Parts: sequence; structure tokens; C-alpha cells
Amino acid sequence: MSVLECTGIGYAYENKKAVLKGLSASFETGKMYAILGPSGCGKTTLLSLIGGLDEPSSGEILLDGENINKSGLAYHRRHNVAFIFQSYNLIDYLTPAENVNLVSPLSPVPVLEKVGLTKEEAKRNVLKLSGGQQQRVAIARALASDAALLLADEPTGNLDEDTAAEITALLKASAHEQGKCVVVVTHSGEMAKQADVVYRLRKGVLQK
Amino acid sequence: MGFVKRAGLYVVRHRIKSLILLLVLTIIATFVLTGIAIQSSAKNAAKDVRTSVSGKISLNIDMSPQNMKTEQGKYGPMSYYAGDKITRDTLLALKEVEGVLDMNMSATNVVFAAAKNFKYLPAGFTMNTTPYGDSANMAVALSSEKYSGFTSGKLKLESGRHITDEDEHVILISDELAEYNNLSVGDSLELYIDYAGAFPEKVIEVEIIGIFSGTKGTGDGALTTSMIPGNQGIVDFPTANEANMEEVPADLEIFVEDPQSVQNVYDRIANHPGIKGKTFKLAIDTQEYDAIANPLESLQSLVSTLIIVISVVSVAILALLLTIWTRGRVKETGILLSIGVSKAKIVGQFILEAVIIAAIAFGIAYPASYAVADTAGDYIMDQVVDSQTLQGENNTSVPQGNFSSMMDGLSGKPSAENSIKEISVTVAPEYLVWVYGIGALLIICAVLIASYTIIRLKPKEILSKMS
Repeated sequence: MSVLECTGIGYAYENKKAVLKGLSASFETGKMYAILGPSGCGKTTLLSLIGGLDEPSSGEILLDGENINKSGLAYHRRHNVAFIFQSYNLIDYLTPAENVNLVSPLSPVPVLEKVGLTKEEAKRNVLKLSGGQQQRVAIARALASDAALLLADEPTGNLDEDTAAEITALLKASAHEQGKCVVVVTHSGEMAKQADVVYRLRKGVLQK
Repeated sequence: MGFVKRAGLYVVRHRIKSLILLLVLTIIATFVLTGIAIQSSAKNAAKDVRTSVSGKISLNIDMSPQNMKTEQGKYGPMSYYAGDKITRDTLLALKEVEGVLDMNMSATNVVFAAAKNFKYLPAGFTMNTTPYGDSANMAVALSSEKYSGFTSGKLKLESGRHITDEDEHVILISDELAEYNNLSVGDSLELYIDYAGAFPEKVIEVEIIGIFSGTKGTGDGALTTSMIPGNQGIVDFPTANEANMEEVPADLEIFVEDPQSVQNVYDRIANHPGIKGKTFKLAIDTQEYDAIANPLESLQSLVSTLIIVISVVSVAILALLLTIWTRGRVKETGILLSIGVSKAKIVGQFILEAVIIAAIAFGIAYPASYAVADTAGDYIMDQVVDSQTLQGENNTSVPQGNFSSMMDGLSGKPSAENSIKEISVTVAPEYLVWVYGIGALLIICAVLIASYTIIRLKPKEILSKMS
């Protein structure tokens, strides 16, 4: 069942260079999508547009048939989207538990334990955790938000192989077991192999 | 987690930044609170001065050339005032004018007398103008307590009592002269009067009823007997009139009940039959009030300026400090925007952080300003008074100026030195309310200025900056 549809998306940078040209694609819940492409082709830009961090120059992005701009991009980011970044992007003066509480008032312990953190680690300052642990916290925060869309930009870029494999498994589980629509921008071939659908972004359009 | 909790956690977990901001805000608030307290106290003190210092009108004889006459004397031409005189009758009539509280008559250089049974303090030159040596000049006062030399603080009665309008043949002398001649209250002096043949010489005996201090050291280097203030005394009007064979011309000070109605009293006196058309000069004398109040008004003005300057500089410093720190929160802002926190709540968090610290800082500033306000107020007051001290109040030098003023070493002018030197400064709780209110507004402005550079960016731009 489609949850997100991109129709004729166009985007140009300030120097007028068009990076997306009439891009159309649909994304469904319960699946993990990988988007591959060379550096600078617009993968992160596409993710930003889907996630409501920016607006396309042309085209529409519909979520469950409704333009994401209708309720406002901040609303869309708050209720429909959860981001996972390459550099984790956790609030550095908060603990893992407090970072998760940014998006959910519920107890963060279950979701942190689900991603492999202990109660003791949940109370530490995030800067005292390893890269892999920090990325787990980021995933926990994304899962705790209960958003239908989980957008990950190079989530394993800073991780070693083993940790990257664990993170990939978590993302896949959140798609298959929790029914989220997981869209991952990646250079990792291993992650692409785990995805249900692989897109290549070439010359401003997505190709399967 | 809401922005309120985030703000609290940020303040607690960034201790060094929080302490720096706390220190800066405490110092600023202490300055401002102290300034407000000093300004308010000065204002109240000025108000008290207005009600406590009598309004004064001076009635002087007009010694313009048209009112003077010249006659040939024993030693050459002599000028003297030939106009209307302020007499006791004038005095009694004016006392009945509505609004008049009290009066005093006084004059300087009205009696020139040599010392028959005592000796004057020696001068550089002696001309022996009389058989008993040179003469010194005396002032005359109806009430010596109100004489300018005493009211200005220049002279101080050390023993005995003041001259009153009931006295006859009395004198106040300096402690210098008393010590030189081993004199004390109750002793008699014989004053030898010889006005260069204008009228027969005579000896007038006066009783010493009071001894004053304030002239020591002022006669150093004086050329003649009459130029030594320590040789000059103050006599009563009957003595002066007897010495001059007529009522002496004198100046009259009229003290008014309500300083604010001094103009009305002035108008009544100016139109009084005993004054109108006479050769008198009438003027409202605010010199004493001005001398006392001017430092207070200067203090208020100075402190107002300081408060404004401190406030402006504070906002600038705060904005700079907060801008530098806010720039370091680009990442946090991007993260919060990416998870759907609104820009308003992000800025709200920044404002709340500053307000939390400010609330603590202002609370600390209250007792801090209480401790320093009184001392600071007195220090600033000293600086203001010192800069406003009138010239010619230096008691350690021989009187300067023309011959008449050189021989008048006893009269004084109101001096800022003798004015209010201290004000009692208290920091009232309501000042703190003002500081909290205005301080919060200034802090919000500073935070908004500081946050603008980040908040105006789109989330993607912020995240681009982060990556």
C-alpha cells in the first residue's frame, strides 16, 4: 500500500543547477528502499524533500494522498517523518533516554533495549557512547516517534562492517516487522542488498 | 520533552557558560539597581532640601554711583553711601508681610576701630593711623547666628553666644585674637574710633559675648592689620550706629516660610510702601538652595546617564555573547527542526535559558546592590560636590579681590562643601521589580537578535551547514 508518492519533482540549487528533473516515485509501507547514486546527484536532496526539510521547485509530494505542505512542513516532520543521519545528530547535552524523549513522552527504555542499549548506557551522556551506540540511539529515537516514514541518510557511513550490518538489520526489521516505510540513501552495497527495492538516481530521475 | 525541560537541562549541564552569563547579568543588574537607588535617593533628598532650606530674599542698599557721595576727609576724598537706609522700622514693617518667616540685617566693613586695651594680630606693615595703632574693620549683624560667615560654615562659635537684636555694645571675636590677648567671654574691649576727622574720635566699650573659630591661617601674608580676618569682629547695630554717628547701611536677608512661594513674597515686599521707590535692590536669593541642591541634581543627571549607558552597553554585550554562543547551537537547532520542533519553541528555549539565569542573577544583585549602594552613592556624591565647590571658599588664603572684599574676611558664601555630602541610599524592593521587568525585555531582545542568524535559515540549510 503506497504511503508516499513523488510526482514530477524538480529541484534546483541556488546556482540554478537542476539536480532533480521531473522525478516520480512511490514508496510503500512495510518495505525498505535503498537509493543509490554518485555523489552530488541529489540523493540527500530528495530525502530532504520527502522529509519536509525543504520544498521542491516543482511537483508534489503526497502522503496518503495529501500534499505534505497542506498541514505545514513542521507538522509533517513532527508527525510523519523520522530522520536518521550519518553523523547521528543527537543532542549532545542529553542522555540517550532524553534524546528519545524528544519525540515521545513514553518510557524510552523498551525502544532503547530493542536497539541493543542497556539501562545503564541509556543514562550516560551520548558523547560517551561509541559511534555504533549513538546510531542505535538515533534509530531508537526514530522508532519511538511512531512516524510512518523512516528516512536514513548514509546511516552506516561512519560505522565498521559489523556494526553496519547490525544497523541494517534494525532498519530492515522496522520495515518488515513494524510496517514502516524505510528509505535509505546509501553508498553501501551491503545495505543495498538488504533492501526490498533499490533505486538509482541518475540525471535527476529515479530508476529501479 | 518540551522546551522548558530542555532549557533547564541546558542551563544545568553547561555550567561554565551558565556561570559566565550569571556573572555578567549579576554585575549589570547590580550596577543598574544601585544606579536606580542612588537616583531615587538623590531625588528624595532634593525634595527634602526644597522644603527644609528656606527661600530667601535679599534686600540690599543700592550702592550705584548715583547713590554715593564723596567728601573730603582728613586723609583725602572719602566716598560713602547716601541713599535710603534699611532701618529697624523697615525691619519691623517687613516682618508683618505675609509669608515672611524671619529676617537678618548685616553689613561688613562698617566699623573701623583701633585696639585701645588689647592688641591686634601683627601684620606686615604698620601705618599707625591712630594713637593706638592701626584699625581693623568690624562687621555688624542683627542676629550673628544668621550671619553668612556662620551659616556658610566658615566660622563656628566655640564659646559664649551669638548676638541677637536685643544686644547693645557686644562683640564676637576670633579665637586667634582671644588667645593673642588672653581674652575670654565676659571681658571688655575698648574700641578707638577715629574716622579721619569725619567726626570726633571716641572710645566704645564692648563686651565679648562670643568667640568664634575659622580664621586661623587665613591671615598669613596679610599686609595690614585690617586684612587679617582674625582681627575682624562682629558687633551689634547700636554699636555700629554709635561708631558711625548714624544708622549704618546694611543688607537685609528675608527668610520665607515656603520656598515655593518666594516669588509671591517678593512681589509683596517690592510693593511695600517702606520699600517701593527707595534706593534698594531686591532679589530672590537661591544661592544657598542652589549650592545644596545643585550637587543632588547633578548626581541625578549623572546617574540617569549612567543607567542609560549601562543598559545600552549591557544589551550590546549580551547580544554579542549570546550571538557567539547561539552560533555554536546550529547543530542543535538543525536537529530539533528535523524532528519537527517549531522555530518558535527553539527560540523560546533560548529565551527561557537566559531568563532562568537572569532570574537568579537579579536575585543575587539585590543584596549585592544593597551592600554597595550607600558607599557608591556617597563616593559619587563626593566627586560631584568636589567638582562643584565654589571658588573663593578656601579658608587658608588671604581674601582676594578688590580692597573692600580683601578686608572682609568673615562673611561667607554657601558652599557645596558644606552642602549635603552624603545621601542615605536604600534599595527598595520595587526597584527589583523594575529590573526584572526591564531586564527580561532586554534579554528577550538580545536573544532574538542573537538567534536571528540561525532561525532565518531553512532546516536544510542548517543541516547543510552541519554536514
